[in-house]
Amino acid sequence: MSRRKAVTLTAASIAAVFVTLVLGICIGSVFVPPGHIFAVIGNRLFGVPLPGDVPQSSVSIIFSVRMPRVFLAFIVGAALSVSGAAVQSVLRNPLASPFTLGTSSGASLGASLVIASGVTFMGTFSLAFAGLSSAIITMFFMIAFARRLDRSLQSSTVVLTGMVLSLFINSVVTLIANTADEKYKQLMKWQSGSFSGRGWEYDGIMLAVLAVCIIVFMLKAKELDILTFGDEQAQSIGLDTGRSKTLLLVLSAVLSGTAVSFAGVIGFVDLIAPHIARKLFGADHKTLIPMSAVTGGIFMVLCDLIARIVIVPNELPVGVVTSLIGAPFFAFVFFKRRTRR
Amino acid sequence: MKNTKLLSLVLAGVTALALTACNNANQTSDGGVITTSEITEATETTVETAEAADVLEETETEAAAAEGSTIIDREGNEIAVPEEINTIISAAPSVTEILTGLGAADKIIAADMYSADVAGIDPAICTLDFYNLNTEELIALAPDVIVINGISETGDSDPYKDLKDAGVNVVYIPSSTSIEAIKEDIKFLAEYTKTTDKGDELIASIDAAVSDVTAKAASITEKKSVYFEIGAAPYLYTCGKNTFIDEIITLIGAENIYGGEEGWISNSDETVIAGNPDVIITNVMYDGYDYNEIKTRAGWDVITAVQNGAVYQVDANATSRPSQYVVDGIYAVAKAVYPEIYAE
Repeated sequence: MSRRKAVTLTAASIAAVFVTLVLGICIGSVFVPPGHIFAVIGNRLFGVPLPGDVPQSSVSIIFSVRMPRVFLAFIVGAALSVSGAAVQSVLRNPLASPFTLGTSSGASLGASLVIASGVTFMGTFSLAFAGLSSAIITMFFMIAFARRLDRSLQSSTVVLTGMVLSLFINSVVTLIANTADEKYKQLMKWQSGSFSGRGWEYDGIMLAVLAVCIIVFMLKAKELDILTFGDEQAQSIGLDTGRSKTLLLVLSAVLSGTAVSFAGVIGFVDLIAPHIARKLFGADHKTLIPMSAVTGGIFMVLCDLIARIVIVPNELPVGVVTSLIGAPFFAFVFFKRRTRR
Repeated sequence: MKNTKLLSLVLAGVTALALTACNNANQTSDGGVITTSEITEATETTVETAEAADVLEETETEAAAAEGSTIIDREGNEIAVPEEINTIISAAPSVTEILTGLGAADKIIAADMYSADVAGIDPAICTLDFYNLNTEELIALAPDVIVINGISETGDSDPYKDLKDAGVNVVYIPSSTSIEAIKEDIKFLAEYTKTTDKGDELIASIDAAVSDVTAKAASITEKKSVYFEIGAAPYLYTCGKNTFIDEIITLIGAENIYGGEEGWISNSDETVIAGNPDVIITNVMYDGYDYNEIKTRAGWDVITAVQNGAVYQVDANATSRPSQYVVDGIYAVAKAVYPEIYAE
């Protein structure tokens, strides 16, 4: 990409993200006049004195509820999308995603153990921590198992191992859920995903994880490019495909595991957003990784917006919206590939 | 390349499967696998069905003998009143509570699993799961009557047809959403089980509570606003008008901040903050839940109730089951909102 084109793309992305965030913050189940919204933002972020006519409840709604929610939606969407893009490239499979490799079931297992046993060790973050660590353990276990079968980690080995493991863990989660009786409801709620009721702390941690992972993925962009050519080609260039794949897969497990632990199992974003990004901006990973983040983030904020306002005062689970839009797209990509061959 | 294609296909299928499995986890686990104990049970039931057929003949003769004695049920259908009721199955805790209140606890031979905490009932008999109906088990128990709550009904088809065909009297009680309807439920069950004296007592206790509270509420000039939570964060749930919780809030002289909405609502936290209630009440009380969590929710610190520490928990059963215990619910809510007026 030429320098000029890169600058234009960056500027356009920043503008699109800004517009989406503003839209997400301005629209909600309670109407707050735009003037008040900007007054609150100006006051909290830049110390501009708050005009007297802005009620305290608006400050709370905008700054403590809506803004952290919109930002979390964006960051989680971006995280899922980036990890989806990486997994699709590493495995050279358009329908692979961190979720099919067992990350989400791994995270669910950790969370269900915490919910069912009632053990908390880090306060409100117990659930997130348990989810994240068991997502990463699951990914390590999956890779270790796949490596025993095939040292170079061929795509089909990894995908099949991931699927088997994922289905197995899902049934364990179901087993726990059924023996947990009352707590079953809580577990189902956690699984269906939400951005509501999370404070700024969640945004901070999630953003830090996302930033680190994106940087590492960007540094490994060349490796991702090479891997998409196929194992044999990659090996002939001199790439240790097994090692490279392990690192990239674990990294995407960290990213999607954190996202799942913070917001629950929100499907399809990890699958769709990278496809859109690839179509619009090309398959070069230097561009694809950041653009996947932008696409995924924007998509998630819009889905959450729909979930919040479509049946006021009721709120839909965001996973319902992503799946409603995502499922037809999933079919579209799948059948389009089939007819092309 | 062929392999990749096959793989994609399998992968698509598995993803779809995994997603449905997530959502229907409860059903698949119960409906999917037949355990050995279930097989034995089925064999036993075949034997017992033969016995049940005998019972069927008896019941029919009984019904014929009692001809002329009919009653209008809670759904408006005319049904026959059995001459004698010795064994009852209750399908819902509210029904168990009413029947126990009518003095029929010893006639209940089995009940749904949620009835286990009803006072005066043996928890050991509360094992039935009406969400995954086991008709064979019910027929094998051969009760005179089975009382079904509206909440146990699913879809258009009558899941109890087999039971009726086997000669069991099936009685439906709709899920009542008002105090008046709860009184109707009690009246009906009292007439059906021929315990009208007890029934009148229960209804009188509700009337007494309602008029007591109404009289005290008349003195309230500044109504407090109330947010009543029935589902905790992050998936908040509350109720609007045409629910008996809303009716209780109005009755005690307060105002539900969602009083303008209808039925059950999965509300957003923004609307709670904007509604700025004077009192927050939750009836969420599952194991390990600490309702003080409400006070620490992000952005809720500006709500009057949180600032004044007016966040309370009330008994979930008394505020969710339509039975005579609604009286306890009325007083629990009343004392939480206006302690100075309703303290004994």
